[in-house]
Amino acid sequence: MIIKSLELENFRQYKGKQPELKLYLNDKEKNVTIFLGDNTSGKTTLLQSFLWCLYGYVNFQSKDELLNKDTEYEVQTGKLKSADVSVKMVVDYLGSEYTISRKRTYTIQGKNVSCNNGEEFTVWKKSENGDLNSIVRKNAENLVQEMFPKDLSDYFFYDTERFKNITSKKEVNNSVRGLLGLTSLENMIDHIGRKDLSSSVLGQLHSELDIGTEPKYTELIETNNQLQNKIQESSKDKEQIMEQIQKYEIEIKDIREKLTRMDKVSELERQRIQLENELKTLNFDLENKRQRFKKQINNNTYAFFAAPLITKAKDLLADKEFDNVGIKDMNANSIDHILERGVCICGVEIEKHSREEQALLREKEFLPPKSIGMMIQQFKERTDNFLLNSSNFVEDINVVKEDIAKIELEIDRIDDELDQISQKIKSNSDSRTLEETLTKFERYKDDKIQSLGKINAKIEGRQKLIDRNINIIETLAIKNHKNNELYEKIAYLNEVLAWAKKSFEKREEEINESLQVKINDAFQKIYHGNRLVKIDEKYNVSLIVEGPGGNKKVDTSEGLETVKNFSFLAGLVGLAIEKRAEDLKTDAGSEIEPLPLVIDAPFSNTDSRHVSKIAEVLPSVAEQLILIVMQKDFDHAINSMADSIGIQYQIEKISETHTVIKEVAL
Amino acid sequence: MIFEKDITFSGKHGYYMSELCGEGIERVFARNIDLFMVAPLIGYTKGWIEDSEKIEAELDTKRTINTSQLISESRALEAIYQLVILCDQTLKHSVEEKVNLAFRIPHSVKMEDKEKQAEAIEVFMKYCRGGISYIYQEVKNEASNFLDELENMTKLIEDYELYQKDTVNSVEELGMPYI
Repeated sequence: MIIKSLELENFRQYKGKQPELKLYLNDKEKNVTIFLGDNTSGKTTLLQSFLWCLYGYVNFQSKDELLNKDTEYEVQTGKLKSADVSVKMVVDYLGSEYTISRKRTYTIQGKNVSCNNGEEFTVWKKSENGDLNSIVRKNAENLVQEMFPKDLSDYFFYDTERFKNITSKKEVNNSVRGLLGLTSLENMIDHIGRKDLSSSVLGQLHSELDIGTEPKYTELIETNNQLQNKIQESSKDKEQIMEQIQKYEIEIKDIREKLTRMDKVSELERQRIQLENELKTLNFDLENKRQRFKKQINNNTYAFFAAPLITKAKDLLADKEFDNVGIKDMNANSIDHILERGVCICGVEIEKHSREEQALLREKEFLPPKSIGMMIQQFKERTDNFLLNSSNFVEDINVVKEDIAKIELEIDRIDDELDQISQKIKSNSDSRTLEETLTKFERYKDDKIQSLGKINAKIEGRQKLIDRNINIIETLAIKNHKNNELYEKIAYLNEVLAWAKKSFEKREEEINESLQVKINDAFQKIYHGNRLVKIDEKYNVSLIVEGPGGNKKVDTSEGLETVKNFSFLAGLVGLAIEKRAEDLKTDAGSEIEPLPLVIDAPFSNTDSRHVSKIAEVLPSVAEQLILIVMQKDFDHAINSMADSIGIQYQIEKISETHTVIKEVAL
Repeated sequence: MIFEKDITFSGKHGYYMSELCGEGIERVFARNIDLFMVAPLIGYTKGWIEDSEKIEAELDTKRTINTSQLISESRALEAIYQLVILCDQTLKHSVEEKVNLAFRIPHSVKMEDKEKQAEAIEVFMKYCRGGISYIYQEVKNEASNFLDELENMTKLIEDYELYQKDTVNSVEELGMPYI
């Protein structure tokens, strides 16, 4: 997808109807559009205009004050009867052109200028004959969501200064999956569903099974329906709790930002951030070690537990003599079979009373059941291997266990230090109230997280009961021949489901691996140093460095955060483009659409060397790049990206309430 | 191959298996077969022998080890089976009879041998069920979460190693306390 143009009207300081801003030249080599502007000229407003147009929200503190102040005054004084605030974008999506528009109309209501008619949100599709046909609102919203997944909007309409740390973002797995082309398989899996979900295909088929009219079973069905309803209720509660957690997180973030800006405690707050990042890494390591511990416990366990029996069995067999001239893993039945079919495994025909038949019969004498010498030999070899493989079993477990204990100790130390920092901040009169509120919100958040755990356990418990009831019902249903046809369908669907899940997992794993590589490729191009970017299965990003003793630490300088975030963006977009190119080669085509990147202040907080590196990498990974940037930052970037710039605009601030955008000749 | 068909545990042992095994979830053993290969050895060593046992309907669950898993672990499984049969004293066989049961009879096609084989497999399964119960008891002992369970499993392993060291010179006494 490409954003072809943007048109603003009375949107904040963009007074009146602004000329249409062309954003793309149809030239892949010139895929960068630059907006240059000074502080407070309206750069961030420009980025916000995209968000408002697509999703109807902005990140300003005064969210309802969208109407240009001069124009508002004109409406208030009667000079204008009404005024519109509108943003219009033209985009190319899946080979068609769409115009997306959001508009509010303001009029005077008593003494105030306000918008009482709600917002008009319209998407038009350009038909082949050039007609613009609007799309029903609900479909239009879905279409926009498909084009620009909302939970990825922070990434593709990227405000560098607001978006300090990608790792703290909400979960984006679904959208990242969509972006990387996993949605079809996921939809298929959801559609087939589960036998306990009556809305799914499998659920439907299971509900059609004939189980007769015995009250015991009809009761079970009723119980399951009730349990299902309770799960739904709990899921709603769960959503609410998650929203509350998010709310507390916003409050906490806000307080933390305020503390960072307070001279007397900013250093303490900086230390706290550092420690929290260390804690995050330690917790990540702890989880990994616990997984390794589980693996270790499952590795050759039987060999370890076999040891006393091996000693005893060997003693038992010690006095016995057995021949061991037979062929390994072969028995008399195999020879009988060869003799019966008359052809040896080497292809030679075996005739009655021939030399070959005699040789085989002789061989049979040394094979089980007649001779077990070879079997015992094999048994000894295998049990010797058991002892060999398990010789370090306990030692290996203890090594991981010790690692875990060390990490836990380190976590305790950091927890203590964090407590001390909090006490120090509280002892400062200026920051006391803030810190106390922070502690309160953190406690609230922890409480909610605990409630969430309880709700999850409740849901899981109910689900288990449902599964058990279904098993009981099915024991009966399976005996009824009337259900044979349905069971065939169910079996077929289960096969398809298993295939889809396997394919999904495989593809997701491949994608995660490729994404990790891509992000690190980008990171290495931008950053010079011995660090790595790591993503987990939820696409959380962290920066790691091998410290002494294999410890991993996270660097938290703002500049490095920016580099890390851009590497994630570059990796994600780069991979999406690569996947698309691969898919297009197949008959099935691609479900991945290229995404544009719109970035505000990409080079702030970053030193000049990294600026030029970022400027070098970004145009090559995104299909379309729109940068809103300050002149002083741009000076370091221009050399690296001059060849890629197709269009350049200057944002000119005429007054606090009036800004214009002019195209600059290149 | 000694185990040629799917092996299913139901009732009490099916439930215990469901609580002890599972990949990607908080269970001590990754797969049912991992427990199946350990349980008879522990059942024997600790002298725990159990028949199948029913459990209340809401806990009843079936756990199966399918043939493909049995095939992929057949060599180790065969050795485990042979170990248990050689060491067992419940059938009160002579050494020669034990050797026959462990090595010869599994390859015989004679009907009477098939019956002996079935009897031996049932002995093996009794140790297995006993082992599952023992492991369940030890792993779940006062555990309030998965970490406690892992800790308990480690304790079981450590105790086993100590026990092994203490009794290495008197192996004849192993596994006999309750038989």
